[in-house]
Amino acid sequence: MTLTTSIIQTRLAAASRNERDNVAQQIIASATPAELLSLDAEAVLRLYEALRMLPPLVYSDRDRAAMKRLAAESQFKAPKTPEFGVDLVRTARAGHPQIQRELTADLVKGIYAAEKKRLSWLEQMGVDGDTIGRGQLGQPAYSDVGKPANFKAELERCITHAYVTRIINAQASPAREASLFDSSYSFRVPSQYAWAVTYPEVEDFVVAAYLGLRIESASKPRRSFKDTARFAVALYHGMRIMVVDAQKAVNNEVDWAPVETQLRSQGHDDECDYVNEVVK
Amino acid sequence: MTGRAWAAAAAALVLVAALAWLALGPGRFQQGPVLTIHLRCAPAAEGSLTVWITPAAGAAVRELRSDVRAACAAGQLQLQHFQDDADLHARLVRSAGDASDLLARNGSDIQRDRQGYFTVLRINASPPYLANDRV
Repeated sequence: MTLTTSIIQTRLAAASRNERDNVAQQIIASATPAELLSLDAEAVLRLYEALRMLPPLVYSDRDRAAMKRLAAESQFKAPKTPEFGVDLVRTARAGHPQIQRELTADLVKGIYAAEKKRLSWLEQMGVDGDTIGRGQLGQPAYSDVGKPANFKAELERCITHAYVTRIINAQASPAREASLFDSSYSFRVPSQYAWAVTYPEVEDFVVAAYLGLRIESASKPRRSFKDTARFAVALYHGMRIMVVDAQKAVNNEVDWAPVETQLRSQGHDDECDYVNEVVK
Repeated sequence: MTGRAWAAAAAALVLVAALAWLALGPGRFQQGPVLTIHLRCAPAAEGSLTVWITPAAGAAVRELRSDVRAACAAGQLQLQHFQDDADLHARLVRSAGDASDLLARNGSDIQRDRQGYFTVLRINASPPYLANDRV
């Protein structure tokens, strides 16, 4: 019988509290690699709890060995990033061709590089303003990403992956995330971006998702995919008002090239350079 | 510190607070989130444009009525006290008497960026006279 969350729950519940770590060891030892890889967050957390959190609270060498196999063979490993976050967004917007074409790991890395070049000396010293992290986003952007109509479900998946990965890979002392899951073995999404941004894969996801929102709002008929990405990045960089004014001045609301020419004529070279550094 | 020194320190504190209030502007504390409605108008666009917001809770409705030519010349309208879950309604009444209605939905037509909430409305000289647009 294939190992499932329900089977794990039943077997652990049938054991006395002092025996649950032994049962968890047996479950992990007898599972195939494919079964371990298919376990969801709840299943992994139930095993973790039995091995490490329940009485007698002795984390034995055998518990440690079982946890090591669980960490090595479950899906909860440090992901390749920013690809992990980009893929979550692209999968959620499978029917949006501009996102499928233009939202890439390189676009996210381009944002990071362009923002890093433009950090003030205070920001370089770690004194942040309204925007934080490698992507220099703020709390409103994080809130928008987490709205149900946007990427709430994907943000929850990303947070869960980040937390469970840290929990089962903790060595000497339990990870701080081990105290964050509730009785239904799920996590609350942090309300503050300042907390979320401390997890690199979560920041990568939030930046990718916010870029996805900007690409959606920059997509319109007759605009090329590449220009859609350029307008999206301009909006990401806070250039909306100057872009709208430039569009009006050149009487062109579709193409980027005349808008860039107009912006440069007004001295907005650094803003245009930002867009061109990110969208190649 | 003597009583006179305390009084002087308190007065200085009040003066600094008053100066900060004036420097930042009272509106900074009172206006709340602003929705900017960027207008894109056909040269022949005319009539009157009324916009109002409807929060999800359905309570407050704020309305702004403008002459289309004046609004188009300005290029934008701004609504104060915008709420994160609110939609925008717009009604264009042309001098011929016909009316066009439009709904701009929050999250799709209404977006937020580093400069605040915004949406783009197009006023055409032929049907549809009123349409949502994007930057």
